[in-house]
Amino acid sequence: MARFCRQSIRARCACGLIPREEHNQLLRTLLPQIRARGTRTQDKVRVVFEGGFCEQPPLDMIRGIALSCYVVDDDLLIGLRWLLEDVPLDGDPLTNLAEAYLEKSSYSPVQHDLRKPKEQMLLARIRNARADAAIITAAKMCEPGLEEQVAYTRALDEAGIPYFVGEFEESMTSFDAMEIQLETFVENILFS
Amino acid sequence: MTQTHEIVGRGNRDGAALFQKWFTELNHTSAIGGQAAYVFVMGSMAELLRVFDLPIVMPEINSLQTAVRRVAHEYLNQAEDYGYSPDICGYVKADVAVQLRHGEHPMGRIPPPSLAVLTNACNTYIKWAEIWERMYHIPIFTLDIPGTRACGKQTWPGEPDFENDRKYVLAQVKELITVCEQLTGKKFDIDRLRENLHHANIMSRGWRRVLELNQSMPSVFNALTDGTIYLGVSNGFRGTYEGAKYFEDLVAEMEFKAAQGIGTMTDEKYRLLFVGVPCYPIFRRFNELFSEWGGTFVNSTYLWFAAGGVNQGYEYDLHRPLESFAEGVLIYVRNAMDSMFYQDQALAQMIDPFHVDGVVYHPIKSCRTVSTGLADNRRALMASREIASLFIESDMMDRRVVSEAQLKNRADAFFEGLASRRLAAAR
Repeated sequence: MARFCRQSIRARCACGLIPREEHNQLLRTLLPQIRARGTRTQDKVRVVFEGGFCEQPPLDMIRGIALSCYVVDDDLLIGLRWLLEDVPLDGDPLTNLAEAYLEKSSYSPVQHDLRKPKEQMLLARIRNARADAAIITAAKMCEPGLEEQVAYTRALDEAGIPYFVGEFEESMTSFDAMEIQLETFVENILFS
Repeated sequence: MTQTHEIVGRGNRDGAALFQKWFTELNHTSAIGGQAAYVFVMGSMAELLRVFDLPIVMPEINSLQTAVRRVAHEYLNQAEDYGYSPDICGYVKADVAVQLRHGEHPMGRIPPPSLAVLTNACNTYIKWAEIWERMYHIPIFTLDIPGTRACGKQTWPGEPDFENDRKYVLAQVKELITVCEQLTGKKFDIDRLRENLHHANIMSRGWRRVLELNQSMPSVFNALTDGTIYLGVSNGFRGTYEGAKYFEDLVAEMEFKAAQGIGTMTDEKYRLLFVGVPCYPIFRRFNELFSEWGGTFVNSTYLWFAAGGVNQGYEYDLHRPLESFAEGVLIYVRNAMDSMFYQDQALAQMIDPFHVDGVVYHPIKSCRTVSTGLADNRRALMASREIASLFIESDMMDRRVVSEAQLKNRADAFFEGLASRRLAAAR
C-alpha cells in the first residue's frame, strides 16, 4: 500500500511536468489499472492529510504514514487541482476562468478569503472522503501553515474527529518516531 | 539652566504620559463595552478611523509591552498551550493570550475588536486578523497596497503606474469608509478627515526632522531606546492634535539639544545604525551592551518601517483630502515595506551624513518578514561601503531564545574591532 501511495504522488507530480493533454491520457490509462488492482483491506484508518500545500513533505514521510493509514485525500500539490469543478466552455473563457478561481476553488492557508472558512472546507474534505481521522501537519517554520493548524484542530475537536499533529522538513531523513506515534494514534482509533 | 531642565528629556516624559493616557482610554472603552478598531503600525489608517471616533488598538504595541514589562513568557506559554507553535510570530501569540484573558494586559484592559483593518505590508497581519475574525466574527478589512516591484524602481505621482496604484488604493479607501459607516452608524465627514490629515502632516514633518537632527554630533537621541518612545506616539496618536503638539515639542527639544551640543550620552565614541527589531525582553540591557562601549544608535530601520513609513515625510494635500490620503497610504506603506526589504541603499547613503562607525543587524526568530533578507542585505551593504557590521540574533518577545552572554561576547568583539580600525586609520 505504501508503494501505491508513492505511485499516486508521482502520477500527480507528472501533471506539473508534462502537457495536460498527455497527463490526461496517462490518467485514462492508469485509472482502470488502479481499479483492477486486487488488494485486501488492512487494519488501517482512512485519513485526510493536510499541511503539504506548499513545501512537499519527503516521500518517505508519506510512505511512513501509508504504513498505518489509507490517505484518502490530501492537499499535496493542491495548486495543480485548485479548481473544484470544470470551467464552463460557453461564454468568455477568461471570465469563466476568473470566476472558477474565485468561486469554485479549493483552499489553503496562504489564501485569504473570508467567504471560504478553511476549517469548514477541511471538514467537508474529510466528510467527502469518508475519512475517520486527519493528519494535520505543517512545514517547519511555515508561519501560515502553523497558524492554520490551530483553527483546524479546534474545528476537528468540535466535530469530534480524531487528528494527529506533526511538522516536517523537506530535508528530514528519519521518520521512525513519527511512525511509532502514528501507529499508536491509529491503534487508539481502531481498538478504542 | 531651567530651560535646559524643562526641554531636555521632555519627549521621553511626555511620550510616557501620552502612552499611559492612551491605555487609560482603552481601559475605559473596555469598561463601557465601546467599539474599537484593531490596526497595525504599517498602514494603520488612523487618520480615517478617527473620523468615526473609533479608538485605535495596536496589538503589535500591546504585545511588545508585555515583553518590555517582562511578562511576555506568561502570554506566550498560554498561546502555545492553546495550540500555537513556538515557531510563529511572538506578537501574534501574546495577542492571542490577551484575547483569551478577555483583554487583560499589564497596562490595563484592552477592548475586543469591532473592526480590524490590515494591509499586506506583513504577511502575518493577514493570518493574525483571521484569528480575530474567528474569535469575534467581526468585519476584517484587508487593504492591498502595491509595493515596489524591484529595488530602486519606485514610481511617483504623475507616472502611469503610480496613478494606477493610487486609484486602486483609493477605491479600497472608499470601501473602508462604507464599512466604517455601517459599523458606527456615523456619516463620513470629509472636514474631520482634513483636520486629522493636518495633524498627521505636522507629525510626519516632525518625525522626518527629528530623524534628520540625529546627524548632530553628539547625537541628540538614541534611536533604539528614546526613538522607540517617539515611535509609540507617532503610531498611537497619529492624526490627533496631541500627536501633532508632541512632535512640534520634540523637534524643538532636538533642535535645542543640537544647538547646545547636548548629546544623548556623555561620552559618545561610536555612532551606529540598527537594522531589525529591538530585543524587547532585555530592552535596556541590550542597549547597554553598546552604550557601555560608548556606542549609540543614531538611526534605525525600525524607526522607518515600524512608523508605517512616515519617515519618508509625505504630506497630505488638504485641498483633495481623500485622494491625497490614498496617495499617502500608498507611499507610506510602500516605504515601510522597502525599509524592510531594500534597506541597504538607504543605509549606505546614511553613513556619511550620520558619521556612522558601524551597522548592527539584529534578525529575530519571531519575525521572518523583517529578518529573512538581512544576511543578504548585509552582504550588499558591505560590498558597496567599507563599514564594520555586526550580525546578532535573538528575539523581540521570547526570552527563551535570548542569550545575553552570547550577545555580549559578540558586541564586545565588535567594539574591539571598531577600536582597532580606528587605531589603524589614525596611523
